[in-house]
Amino acid sequence: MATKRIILAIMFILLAAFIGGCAENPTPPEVVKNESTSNQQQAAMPGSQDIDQGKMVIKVYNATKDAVHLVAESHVVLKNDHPAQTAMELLVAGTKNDQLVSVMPAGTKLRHLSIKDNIAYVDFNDNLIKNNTGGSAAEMLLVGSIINTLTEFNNIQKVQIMVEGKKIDTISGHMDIGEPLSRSEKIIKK
Amino acid sequence: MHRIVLNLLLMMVFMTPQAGMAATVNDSMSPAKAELANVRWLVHKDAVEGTSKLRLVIDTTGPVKVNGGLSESDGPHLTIDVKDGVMGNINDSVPLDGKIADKVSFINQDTNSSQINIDLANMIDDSDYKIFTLPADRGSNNAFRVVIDINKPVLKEMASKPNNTVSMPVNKDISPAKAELTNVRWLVHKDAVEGTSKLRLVIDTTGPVKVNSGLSENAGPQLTIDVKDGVIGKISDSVSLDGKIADKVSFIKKDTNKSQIIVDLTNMIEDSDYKVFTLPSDSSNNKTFRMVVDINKPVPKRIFNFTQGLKGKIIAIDAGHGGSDPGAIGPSKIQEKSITLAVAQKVKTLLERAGAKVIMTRQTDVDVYGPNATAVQELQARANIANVNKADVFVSIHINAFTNPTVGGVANYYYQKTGYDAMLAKKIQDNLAQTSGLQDRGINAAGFYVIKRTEMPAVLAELGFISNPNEERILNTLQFQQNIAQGMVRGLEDFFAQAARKGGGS
Repeated sequence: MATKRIILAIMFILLAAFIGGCAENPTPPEVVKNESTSNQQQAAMPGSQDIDQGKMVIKVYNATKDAVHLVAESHVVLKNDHPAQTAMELLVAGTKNDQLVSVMPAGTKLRHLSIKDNIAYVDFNDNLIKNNTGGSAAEMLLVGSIINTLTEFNNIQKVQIMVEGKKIDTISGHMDIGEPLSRSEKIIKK
Repeated sequence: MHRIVLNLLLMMVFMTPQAGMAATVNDSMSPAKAELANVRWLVHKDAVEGTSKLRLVIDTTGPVKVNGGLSESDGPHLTIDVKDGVMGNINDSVPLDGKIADKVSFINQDTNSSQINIDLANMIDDSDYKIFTLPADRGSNNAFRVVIDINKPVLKEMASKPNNTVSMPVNKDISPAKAELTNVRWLVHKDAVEGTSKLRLVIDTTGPVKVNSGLSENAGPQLTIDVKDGVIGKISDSVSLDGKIADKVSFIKKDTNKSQIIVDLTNMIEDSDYKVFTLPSDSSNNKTFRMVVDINKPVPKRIFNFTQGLKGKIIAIDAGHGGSDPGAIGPSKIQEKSITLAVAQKVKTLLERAGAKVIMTRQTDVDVYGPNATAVQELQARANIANVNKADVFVSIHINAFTNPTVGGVANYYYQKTGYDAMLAKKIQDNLAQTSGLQDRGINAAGFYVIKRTEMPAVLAELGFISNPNEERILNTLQFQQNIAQGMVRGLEDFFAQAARKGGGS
């Protein structure tokens, strides 16, 4: 009899735990964009219910202080018809998070961005090359941040980096970036 | 009476999550997700046969779907994709005893799926593991479970591996309405950082299907995917691809509820080079049910027959940057190009003393191709020198830099093109970490031009950060340069010793 009571008590606790567990787990925001996107950063995204109509969330990647990984930061901005360009402008502007480091060389400006056949052609001024710190760690994080930020958009699968209107083969003499590149998941901090 | 109350309570316990969740996710039609709650493991040893088996049991709060596959990237591991199940109160990773596997870790993939990764002590065959799910068992107080059995592998020659996808339907008796294959699209992705290529084929289906895949070479290299509960809809019979990784994909009608997909591969791949998985429909992103086939560009099968020792080896040493290109510049204006040359010359002396033949891409402060060359001409000229001289290995020497001046350490980068590149990077890294006394940043895959375009195993070594004032200072000392040169030479020696043990082939 006593055992039964204990079992009953356990059942109630389990039941309570289950209901409690469900209540604490609201459906996460549906911002998943494509099958290759990592969703680790979604916890940092404001829930869709918090975003006013007329606003959009843009994810931008900056480097960790140890120059090993990229981390996505979410910005809520006014909706417009050129979100990819806005994302690049946010990347160029740099991060305000003191745990992260901006990857864009000083004085880099976005000249132009166009999208054709799911390939983004992103054109910067020549400070992208002139003012980069020259290390391969910096180059990997810079290339990774540009491509991962742009491939957050459903209509961009690959990215060609350009400088002063011309396709470039490398930024500081290490990476081979002469053709459109796709997302790199491994460099994102999990 | 009590039994009835108990049963009712049990029913409530198991019904409640589904019933409660259904209300919130009804519109997207995604099934209620279960949580991975607990993991336990034991190495079983068969009393009669003496064979060992690792059994991992993961308790889940509801039914989940599992799909497993083996891979050797980053060491041998077994990856299990868990659909309709996310991480609950489970540890991120649990160490195992290393007899069959070293560690099991859990990662959330998205809002309704997660992944289980098991680091294996040794690579196993597809026939060595089994993954299945079990329903909750009220009688013995068991929750829903995922069971993973892994046999201790028998060391043997390459065995044929027919299948690498295990699909375990949870409800065998309910046969779903058959789906149709409606559309196929494809793209060759090139990883921005690592430079590796991957073909992704996405096939839209009107409902869920089950897939089972395998490689064969009977009619040329092919990947065959058997599709259950999916028939040919308005999809084309065959679609030509660009020949980089595969030439063609064909869709073949089988019987009333089956079809087959055949991918004609340009070169044969390994089981670890591909992945086939299915995705549910995603109404918010306007996506139907999909089947995804990912195929990595395989590492070409080149035959190397390395012997141990440095004597007689041809080693190409590339002092990074030079001439018009100073490379990175430190806070006290020390230039990368002068340190790389100083270290390269010390490595050359040590290697020649050990009997190796050294080919230098540059011996003085010059551009290798010539002044006013394009970046690609300059980099290709360095790779050409190693290729033309048929070097056994290529070592490119660089000094790192980053905006944050506190970052420091040594790192080695490789592009896995011969089957030996990562081994070379690892051996040099391990020795450099020791002789430099700097932080060990490890090895990483990277799409760097010179290590991609050289035909032999190649490495790009980053010997500290010139942007770090302390490292800039020691990089400019003869003693430190000598220490790292020694580390590189020991690394090369270790590499040839291990490569010789690995033997021919790649």
